Amino acid sequence: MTRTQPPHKGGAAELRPVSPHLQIYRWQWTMALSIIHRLTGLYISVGIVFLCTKIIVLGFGDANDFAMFTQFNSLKAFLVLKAFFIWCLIYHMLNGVRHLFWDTGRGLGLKAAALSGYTSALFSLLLAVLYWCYWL
Amino acid sequence: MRIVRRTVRLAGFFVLPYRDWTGRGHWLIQRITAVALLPLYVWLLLVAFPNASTAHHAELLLWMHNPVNAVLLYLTIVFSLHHMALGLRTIVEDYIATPSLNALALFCVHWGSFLLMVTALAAVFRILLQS
Repeated sequence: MTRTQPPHKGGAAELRPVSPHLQIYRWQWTMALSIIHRLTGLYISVGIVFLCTKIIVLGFGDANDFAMFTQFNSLKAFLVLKAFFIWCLIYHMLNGVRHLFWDTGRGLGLKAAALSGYTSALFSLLLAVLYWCYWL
Repeated sequence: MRIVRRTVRLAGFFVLPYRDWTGRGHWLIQRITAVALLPLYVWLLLVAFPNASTAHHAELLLWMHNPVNAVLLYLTIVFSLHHMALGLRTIVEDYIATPSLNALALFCVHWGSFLLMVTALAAVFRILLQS
């Protein structure tokens, strides 16, 4: 079946509640991990836009423009944002591997999903701390 | 009237160029870019960031003159922004229920990331071609 227009343009469908029905689910940790995946994705998007802007300034501006763009890079607040970006990236990658495994039909049971979730969360923290020690 | 309808459909394609709304292409491209991004981000975290993220102007230009770095950066930008556009689109679809705002946000996500990608790639090329 091929739809030719977005589903919300279908009249009665417009009145249906939208996707994540957070209010009616019992709270679970795996749920939090899934939400964090989305939030980290959002934050990584902000970081990617920043990095692309930096490349654009480097490519089309001169040394002066670049200095202006990077003048806040030595601030403590910027370092915190950068460190958080690193953790978000590592978490999103590990959890993304989990998603790719699920796509092959493996690890979808309750126990397996919970275990892999805790593992990826723990490892992301561990790797991020290691990375901060090595690089920041 | 047929030509009007066709024009409207063509205009709609330029506003949001998705051929169908079943999400098959979305799903597939999200997975393909995810797999491609895994090694690229290992490179970015372990090689590119330590070498380039705190570099000064001249150092960074020199680093990006290296064709290997430039090509890997090029691939990272292409796949990252593609993956980003798809992810942000999902977020917009899930949380912005008002149809007009939803369409506006999708438009901004799609063309904003496209514009950013093209400009960043042009910048990478420009640096590579500079002597």
